[in-house]
Parts: sequence; structure tokens; C-alpha cells
Amino acid sequence: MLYFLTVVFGLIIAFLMFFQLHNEKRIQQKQIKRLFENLIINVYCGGNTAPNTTFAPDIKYNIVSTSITLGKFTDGQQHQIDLPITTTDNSLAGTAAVITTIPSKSGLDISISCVEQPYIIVRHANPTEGQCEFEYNLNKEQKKLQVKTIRGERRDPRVAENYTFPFEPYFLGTSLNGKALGFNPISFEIPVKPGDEILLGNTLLKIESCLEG
Amino acid sequence: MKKKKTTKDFGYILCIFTALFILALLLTTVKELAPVTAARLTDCNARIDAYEGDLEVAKASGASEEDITYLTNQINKYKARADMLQHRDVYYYVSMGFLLVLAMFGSVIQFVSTASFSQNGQKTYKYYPFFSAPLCAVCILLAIGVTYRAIFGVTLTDLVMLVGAVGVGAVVFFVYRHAPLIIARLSHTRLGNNKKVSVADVLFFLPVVGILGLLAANLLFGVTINGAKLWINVMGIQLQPSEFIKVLLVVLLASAYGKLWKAVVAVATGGITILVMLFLHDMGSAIVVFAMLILMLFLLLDNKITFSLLFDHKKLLTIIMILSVLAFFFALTLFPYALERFSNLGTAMEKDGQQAEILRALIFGGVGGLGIENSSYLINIYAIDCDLALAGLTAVFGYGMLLITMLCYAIIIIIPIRKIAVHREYYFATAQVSIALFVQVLFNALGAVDVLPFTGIVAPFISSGGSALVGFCAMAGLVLATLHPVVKLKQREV
Repeated sequence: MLYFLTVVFGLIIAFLMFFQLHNEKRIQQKQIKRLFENLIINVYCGGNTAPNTTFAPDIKYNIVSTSITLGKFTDGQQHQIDLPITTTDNSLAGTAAVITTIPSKSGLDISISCVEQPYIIVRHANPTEGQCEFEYNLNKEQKKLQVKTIRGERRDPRVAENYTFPFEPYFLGTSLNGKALGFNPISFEIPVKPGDEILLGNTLLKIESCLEG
Repeated sequence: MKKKKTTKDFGYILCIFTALFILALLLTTVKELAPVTAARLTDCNARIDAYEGDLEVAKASGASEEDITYLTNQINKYKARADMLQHRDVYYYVSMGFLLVLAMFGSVIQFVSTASFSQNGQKTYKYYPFFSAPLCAVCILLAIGVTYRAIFGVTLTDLVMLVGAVGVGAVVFFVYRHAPLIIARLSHTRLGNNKKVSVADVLFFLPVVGILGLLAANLLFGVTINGAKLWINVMGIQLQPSEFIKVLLVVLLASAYGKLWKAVVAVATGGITILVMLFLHDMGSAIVVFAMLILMLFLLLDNKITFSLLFDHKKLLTIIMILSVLAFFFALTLFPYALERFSNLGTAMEKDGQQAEILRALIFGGVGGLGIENSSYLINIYAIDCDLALAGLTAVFGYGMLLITMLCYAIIIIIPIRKIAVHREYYFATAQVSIALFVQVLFNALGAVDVLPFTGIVAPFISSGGSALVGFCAMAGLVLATLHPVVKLKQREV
């Protein structure tokens, strides 16, 4: 009888565990949401800002207010916040993305997901078939990247919404220290570290802090 | 400043319930175990007396050396068993007491916040651990395992192994909690003047070196028991390197993304491991590692970063997966013993070996089980407390206990589906532990009853075997670490 009761008790606990697992997930979701609410990206645009860029100097972005969703967070790794950049000569339109530890205003470092090195993604506005060129200035050093492009077969639905490319260019290879992405649009990752200053067109991005190097 | 707790959680109550369950199991078992122990002790002493009498007669009558050695061996065997029986109950109580304390510790730790952050200087939010369910599952599994093994004997070594295994699990937990942050930091630190290679890249090779080192040690210094070269002797203790290799593989496969060369190195290491394990007649571990490799390839389907220069990595990975399955079956054909295991399927009753014994015990036990009192004869089944553990558990304690065990396994196995992984590395790690546990449980449960090949796979947390227990506790440590990662680096000046 005692043994029977023990088994029944064990089964009740086992089922409670499933309930608890569900409960913990719900609480964790709330907690992560709150974690995001408290995080402010410290990448800001300042210095040599052109008058008609969409950046205001010293903008601080709240992650929750952007399109970042908890669903995206679930699979870890990539948290990117798209900050539209339009430069005066329209030679370079793109997005800056930060994949990094993001410190809150209070100065507390909270790592979300940053096993890979933080980097900024730059996209090419007017890709041409055959070859594309990226120009940027990293820490007052002018850099140029030439990338071979080929015509793709499939459109990326995300791109179709925002851009109208005549074709879908893919990367073939890259010559600089950046890592090429296999999906369109033509983009280029510039690895960054805290203290780096990147000049894209007329927009200066200053990486104030990411993971401590 | 107003302080607010971010969680309303009753994980601590679950831990207290778990402790109560362990206590109930202990009390129930003690009630049944004590008379069995007394009866067996009397039996042992009677046998010792009888053999000692025979020995005296043999010595007086000038019997052959062989007979005298046989009798001496029998006396020593029963003396050892009597010695074990005398202390068995005490060691069992202490083991269960230790697990009870572990469960209670789990309830206390729910209240310890490990990070806090404030919003606009108004409220302070705290970050609490979320792992009560899997921790309780592990505690219950360990308690059921200790109780089951106690029927067949508990020694001081078993107790030390249990405490040591939990200790190793705790160390793995504390180290792996920091892993992604440490690696992320080190990924900025370049190796000397080298611009391309970071310290994190070098760290990636640590598990690779560990795995290859253990495989080499097994090949060179392995001890062959029952045709399988699975053990190495280290200072008088027999260790089974394959159990540690599985843990290292979880860490390796979890970190093998983001760069193509990492994935290639991980797959190559896994492939070498499978071949060496098959060569060492460890088919069970080879199957587990193979499942882990396939899962890793499957998870990489969604990882564009790893395949940044490949146009259609999904098709490529699918082809690699299909080829891997074919290659694995081809590798099996190279080893006749492996094929034999498959051809032996369905012949357990004809052969009338240990599987037939356990099948009979399952039938006699029925839904309620044989009970401890009637299960003494099971001790003569060779692999009763390792390869036949889940079947034996069911035979002794009935299907209710099996259901509890399976639900506890399920709790750990579904974590990658149910939980939010903060780092992708953690998501991969929980998935790898899941598949390893799933395959082990599947093959242990169904191998014993002749549905799958009987490949010598132990049941996680239940079976005897120090290395396996340490390995699984380390895996549990990995899973718990993923549920409670470090979210805070040191304070920065603004």
C-alpha cells in the first residue's frame, strides 16, 4: 500500500514537472522581454553626420520598440537592429546591424548572444552584375572591397518588399577581412570592436561598447 | 528604491515535493529491504560455515589443490557478499540522504538571484534560475537508480561514485554557465600577432584534443572484457572513456557552427570516434554518437552563417546526411559482431540467455512488479543492473515506476523544444544531450526486450557504472547551465 502511494505521488510530481516546465518558459519569456526593455544599444550616429541622413546624433534605440521579436530571440545568436542609412549621394544605402552584448544605461553588461564577433552589416544599394564595390572608412583608414556577383534564381521575399533589384546578386567571394553572406542583397560584414569608428558614406558609426575585448 | 521580483515561481515547491518523494521511496524500500538483507545475510553465513567445514574436511583428507582453491574462493566470495550486505543498508540510506539534500538545495537555490538590472533607476529586476523541473527529474532518476541498484548491492565505492558524479555535474554546470561569454570575449583576443586566429578558435580544439586523446588511450591501454575493449585502468579504477567522449562531443558539436571549418572538424572528429568505437566493439556508443552527428547536420540546415559561401547548403547537407546513414550501415558491415547483433534479433527466447530471464521476470512481475522480496533471484542475471536496467526496474518495481522514470527522461529530453535558449550554442547543447539520452533510453529499454539490437547501452542515471554516471551527471550539468546562463559581465564604467 505504501509503495502504491509512493508511485502515485511520484507520478503526480512527474506531471507537475511538465507544468512547471511550461510555467518557467512563460516566466522566462517575461523576464527576457524585460531584459530587452532595459537594454539600449549604444551604437550611435554622430560626428560627421550629413544633414539629410535619417540619423539624429546620439540616437539610442530601444530594442523592444523595433521589429525584434521574442521569436527571433528564441533561436539565439542573431540580434540585429536595422537602422536605415541614406546618404546624400545615394551611393550607399544600407543598414547597420549590431550583434553584440548590449550594455544598459546603468552600465550593466548583459550578454544576450554574441559568440560570434560583433559586426556591422553594410548592404549595397546599386549592385551590378559582375562586380560590386564597397567603400568604407574604418578607424580613419580608407578601405575598399571588391566583390564578384552572379545572378541568382530566386527572390528573397524580404528584399522584394523594400528594394527593387533587377536581379538577385549573390556573393562569390571576398577579398578583405569581411565575411560574405550567402543571401542577398549584396552585403558585407565589417567586424568591429569597441572604440571602432566606421564611416559609411557620410555617416559615422561609433561602436561605443559591445563585448569587452 | 522599489524592488520587484520578476518571477512568481513555484519551482521550490516542486523541489520539496521531490525531496518528499525520495524520502517516501527510501521508507518504502527500507521496509522491504531490511528483512531481505537479514535473510540473505543468514544464508551467506550458513554457506560460509558449510564451505569452511568442507575445507577442513578436504584439508584433513588431503584433497587436491584445485578443490581447496575452489572452496577458498567460495568462502571469500560469500564473505565479501556478507560484508557488503552488512553495510548495504547504511550506504543506501546515506546515498538517498545525499539526494534528498540535493533536492532541498535545489529548492533553496531558486531564491538566489544571480543578476539584477534596473530600469530608469526606478525598479530593480532580478534574474533567477529556471531549472527546477529538470533538476528534480535528475534527482528522481538518481534516487530510483540508487534504489534499484541497492537490491543487488551497494558498496562504499558506489556511494563515492554517486557523490563524485554529482560533484562533476556541479563543476560542469558552473563552468558551462560562463562558456559563451568567455568564448565571446576571447573571440576578440587575437593569438599573438596573428590577425586571423583568435584565442576562441584555439579553445574550440580543446574538446577535439580531449576526444582524440581518450580514443588513443582506449586503443593503447584498453582492457578487454567480454570481447569489448571499453575500459582503461587508472590507478586501480576502471574507467570507460566512451562515456566522457560523449560529453565532450556534446560540447564540441554545440560550438561547431558559425564557421564552415568548425563544422567540418566536428563532423570529422565524430566520424573518427564512430569508427574507433566500432573497432573497439562498442556498438552502443557508436550508435549514440552517430545520432548526435546526424542531429548536428540537421540543426545546421538552419544556420546560414556556417555556410556563408555555399549557395544551397540545405541540399548539400541533406545529401551529406543521406550519405552518412549509408556510410554508417556500411561501417557496420565491416564489423561482423555488429551484424550479429542485428541477426540475433528475435531469438532471445530460443537462446534462453539473460534476455529470456528478464522477459520471464517481466511477465511474472506484471503491472505491480515482483517487489524487492521476490527479486533476489534476478541477481544472477549478468547485466541486470546495467544493460538490462530499465527492464529489470520494471520487473522489480512495476510499470508505475517505469512511467515515472520515462516522464523524468522526457522532462530532460523536451527541454530544447520547451525552453528558451539564450545562446545558440546552448540550444545545440541541449539538443545534443536530448538525442543522446533518447537513443540510450530507447536502446536500453527496447534492446533488453529483444525489439532492438542488444548493444550494451546503459540506462542514463539508472544503470550501475561509475563512468556512465559521471558522464550523465556532466550532461545534466550542461543542460542546467543552459537554463541558467550567466547574463552579467563585470560592471562597466559609463
